[in-house]
Amino acid sequence: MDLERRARVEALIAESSAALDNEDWQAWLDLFHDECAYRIVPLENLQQGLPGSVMLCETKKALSDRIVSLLRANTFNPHTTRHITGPPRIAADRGERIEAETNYALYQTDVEGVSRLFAVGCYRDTMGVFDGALKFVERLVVLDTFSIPTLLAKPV
Amino acid sequence: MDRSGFDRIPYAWYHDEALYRLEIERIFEGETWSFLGLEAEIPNAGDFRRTFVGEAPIVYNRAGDGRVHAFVNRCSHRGALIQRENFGNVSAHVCLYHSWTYDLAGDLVAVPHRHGVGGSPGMPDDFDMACHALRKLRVDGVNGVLFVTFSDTVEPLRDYLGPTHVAHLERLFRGPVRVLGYQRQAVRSNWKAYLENVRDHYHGALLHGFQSTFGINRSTHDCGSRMDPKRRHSLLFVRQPREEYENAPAPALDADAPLRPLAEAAEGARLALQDPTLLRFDREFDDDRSTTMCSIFPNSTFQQIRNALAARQIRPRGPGAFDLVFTIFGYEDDSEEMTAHRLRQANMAGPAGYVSLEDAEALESCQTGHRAGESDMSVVEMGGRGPIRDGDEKLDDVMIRGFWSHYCDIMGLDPRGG
Repeated sequence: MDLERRARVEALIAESSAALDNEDWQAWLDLFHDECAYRIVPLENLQQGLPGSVMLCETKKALSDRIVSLLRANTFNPHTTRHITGPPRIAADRGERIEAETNYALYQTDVEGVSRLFAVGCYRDTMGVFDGALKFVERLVVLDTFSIPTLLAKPV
Repeated sequence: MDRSGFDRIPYAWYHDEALYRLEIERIFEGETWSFLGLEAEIPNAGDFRRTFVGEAPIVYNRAGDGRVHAFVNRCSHRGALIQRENFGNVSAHVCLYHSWTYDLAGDLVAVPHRHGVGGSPGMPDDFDMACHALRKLRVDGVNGVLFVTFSDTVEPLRDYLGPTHVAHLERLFRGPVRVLGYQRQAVRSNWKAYLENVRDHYHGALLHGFQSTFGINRSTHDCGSRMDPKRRHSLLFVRQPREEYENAPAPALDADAPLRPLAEAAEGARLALQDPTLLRFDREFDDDRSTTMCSIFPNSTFQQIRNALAARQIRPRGPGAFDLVFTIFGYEDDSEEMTAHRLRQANMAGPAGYVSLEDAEALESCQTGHRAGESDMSVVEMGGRGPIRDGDEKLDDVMIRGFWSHYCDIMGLDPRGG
């Protein structure tokens, strides 16, 4: 993989973290292709070969519904987030599709200014180029921290 | 303050360390049956899983003869965990420390160097292996749902559950189940607040905004609550009349409709899901109950939200914290499509559930809010103060009072339930 292609992968992941931390939900949704899937899966389910998720959006419309519900319907602990990601490992590059694995740590900070580690894990992303732009086709969020502190309202 | 109707709950009861220790002794390790797990989790001889009852670490496994055994996960020698993995398949449990070895019935079968080695005398001559089995617990089940007790004197399981709740478990576990996954959350609240939460009809539409926000009409649905005679268990249900969903088209994705920008999708008083496949309800029981919450005192709730099925287990972690473990399941004879539907509908509940994620925030908010008000009491009067009865009301928290009446009984606290 050439450096420019790798830089685009890194940029997409960085844009995703920034959009989530800035709560720019439209910008975050725009990083996904129109036909996409998003899942947050507890590590223990992967280890046991079980298909269950804690969040499963099989279409971009379902992903958009999640955000609308977050903004309009759901009530949760007030907090800000900070995503810290490591360098992506390119797991496969098949021309049309790039697969990358990126470790993350996600901290939450509450209204009293107290931060806690919310989750660590790994993004397993499949990306593709559409009209010249790199987009997520599938984002599988592996939740090493499968005992979720309090609740999970926002996408990771 | 008059507590005869159990409508005033002292906040101190959510924080008191000594009371909590007594709860572990009298409730979790006392005259109760706790939810252990599902037979489907340990289908083969040697399969084991770990769990907790109260704060006691537990192992349950299937022996060679097919029987399920449960014991405290604690070596009889020095107290180490004899299983440090959450699941697996073994022929015996071998303690890591000195390799004391237990069979799948929990009996001690090997003690290294018991008869000495190299001039060392080994264990005393009167050391009796039979006296050092693991702490064995009594196990029984209903249709593959396993319960466990520390007590030798508690009534038989089916008597403990009562006919209403046995019938409901037989309904929900109508055939062999397949575990689809686990979800866990760690909540910073007293465990009893969760038992109240699943017995509380009042909060549903107020705390959980998903259904009203997306215009999922519940106004025509009727509800009810059922308790066992001792009011320790609860069954809360919502009916969706047959004609309502037989006449309505199943929610489906309109793939041709353009995706609406967020600013537009999140506007207006009544929103609509763009992908409503999440909501589909395939009728699969011989009744019209679309939601059921069956709670068995002290540590479990069995959930049906349309086709999203789960067993929930409560594991207390001191007076100010508990873990909640969801075991999501379907049936062995589900089609692939039905399994996919259940996995999708699992979005409704759990730590990220559309109609449940608020609960943990509400409970933590209470725990923080009443910490500094321990001499005060909470108010439980919706549905009236008087007798504690089953109801067919939507706005009702009478089962919370039922819970407290039994709690006072079992804890020997005044006033007693009647």
